[in-house]
Amino acid sequence: MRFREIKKIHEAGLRILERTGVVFQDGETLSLFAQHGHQVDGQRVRMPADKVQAAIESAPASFVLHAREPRQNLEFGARLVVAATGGAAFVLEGTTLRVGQLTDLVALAKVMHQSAQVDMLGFSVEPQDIPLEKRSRWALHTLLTLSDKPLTFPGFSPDLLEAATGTAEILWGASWHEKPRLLSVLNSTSPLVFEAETCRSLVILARLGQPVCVTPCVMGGATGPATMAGILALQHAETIAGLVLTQLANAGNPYIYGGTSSITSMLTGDLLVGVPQYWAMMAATVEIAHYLKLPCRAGGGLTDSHLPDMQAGIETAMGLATVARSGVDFVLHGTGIMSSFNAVSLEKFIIDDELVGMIRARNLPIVVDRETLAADVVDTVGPGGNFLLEAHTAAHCRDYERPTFFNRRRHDVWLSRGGWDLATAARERFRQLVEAYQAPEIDALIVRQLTNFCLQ
Amino acid sequence: MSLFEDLKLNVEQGKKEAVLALVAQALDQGHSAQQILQQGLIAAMDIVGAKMEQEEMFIPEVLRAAKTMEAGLEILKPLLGVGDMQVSGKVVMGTVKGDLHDIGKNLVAMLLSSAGFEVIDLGINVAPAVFAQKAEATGADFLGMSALLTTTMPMMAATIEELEKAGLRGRVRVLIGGAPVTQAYADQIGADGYASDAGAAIKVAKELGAVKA
Repeated sequence: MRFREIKKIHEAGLRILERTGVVFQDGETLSLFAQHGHQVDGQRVRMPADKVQAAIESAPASFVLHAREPRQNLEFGARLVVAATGGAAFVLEGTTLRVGQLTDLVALAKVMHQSAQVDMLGFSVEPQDIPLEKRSRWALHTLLTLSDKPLTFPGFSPDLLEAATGTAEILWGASWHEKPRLLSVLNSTSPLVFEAETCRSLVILARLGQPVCVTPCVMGGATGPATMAGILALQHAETIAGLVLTQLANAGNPYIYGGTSSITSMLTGDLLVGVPQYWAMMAATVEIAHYLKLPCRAGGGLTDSHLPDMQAGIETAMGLATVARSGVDFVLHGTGIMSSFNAVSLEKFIIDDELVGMIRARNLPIVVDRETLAADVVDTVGPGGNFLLEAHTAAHCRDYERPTFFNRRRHDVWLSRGGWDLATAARERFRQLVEAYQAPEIDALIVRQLTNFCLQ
Repeated sequence: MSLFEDLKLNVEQGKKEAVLALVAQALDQGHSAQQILQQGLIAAMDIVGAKMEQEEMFIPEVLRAAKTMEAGLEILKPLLGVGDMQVSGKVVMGTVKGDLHDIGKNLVAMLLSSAGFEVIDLGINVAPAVFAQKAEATGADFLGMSALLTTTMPMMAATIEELEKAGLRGRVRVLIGGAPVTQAYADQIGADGYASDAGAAIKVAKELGAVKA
């Protein structure tokens, strides 16, 4: 978008906050708004534009999320951070959809840990064989013991919050919250509602100094206007409303501007994620967030397909490449998500991982200097010669080499090696990674405490 | 174009003023309210339903047609006898306990109502006992449940149990839907019908109604 249009959407969002307002279904949250001079009418909060602007300015442009292993710490607002699938209900195996189990999460955690592209762990699948009241604890146990990468989790319910803070205390001690360690992603309920649990979680997490990201998912035509600009303005109002609340609870608290809104199928009422309008709005979301100097979550490897097929590949690549080009800071559902937001595919997890690597490599700047221009080498070899014997070629022959399971061989060689399609090759790669997994170091006492916490 | 053709076309296109005028005109010409309802309004919604299934009409267009049909029906109601208003079935529906998502449920409610069902919408966060109690009190033929979250889906099974306890399972057909809900889950918990979207929900309800009749 042009600067003028970004500004217009920002102003439209501010106008929604001031004129229409937002419903917060929690008493303490409403008092907090009232104390700070916002106009509270029942559950409806109308926010004066100057107060909103002040909140935007108090949120930092970047922050560091601390991992169990400091080498794995991540800076948000500096470079692309990719998290894998978050919270899929199902696992897609071949064409069969089945409910997720703890063994799936274990396998995925092992693969996430080894991935050079997945920077942080997510609740990639709901382990539905674990009773609901224990599920969050066991999921955290699994992720944080099998990997030392930092964690993002859906912080919207009291049990998740209690499990996450309890786990953090075991890992880092009572003062764990002195640093940002848990990144929570929450959703507003479009249009313009924050449910009670979401309000409470936002306030608790902000007071603990933990970064949060509110990601509205406006469904154009159903929970928002049918037009793209209207969707973006409403999404803007909602994520900014979340920001204002966190800044009231703790001024300067890290906040990620989120948005994953799309259009709705007007034939079925389903959200559409594999569509050009979604990709365009992902880019616009990043532009608006960066206009306000806020880190941004947008996009993902999302597809409406139910197979790791060419449709899935096209839609995933368009989404991820779009946000990466736009300079997005944080991508959730970066790898493995399938069937809209419903399922995780192990094959697609591996394929997307490769895709993220490709996108990162594609987006590296082309270095232009004396060495890389290689004018002398061209002059030495001259017309009709070949470069394979040159020292310059030998010095740079590994520059662009990346290990890959994508096919790079001729047809006959590919055929003689099994003639696999990409999904088959990915399945094999997944199996190899699970087998090759080596656990990162962790204090046995901590593991025991985490286990006790789960058994309590 | 005959008067009824004109009426059906205007219902389909959601032209409320024209429909009101045409209904009045039909009454002036001596057609009975029953005839206008059956050959005009309901016939129009049958076309709309078929076009929705063929993916020729979009949801907002279908809803606008339904609203228009209801406006026409308002004029006819005082003139219709008790037996003239045939109802396809009575549906008690809502979003299950713990779940506040209601866009899909509302859509199904509107479409069911335009397809001739009497809909009693209990809203969101409806406890199993409330579902059972309302189904009993209203003499419902169907009970529809919606859930968006995997964590609230088990409330569907709990509600079915509640119906069984209340001795209602024999006469109330249970329909379920929502993003994480599948046919397999419906089979597992013993629901009578599952629909993947709002259009399909109407079809399933009609089929189950027919089976019952």
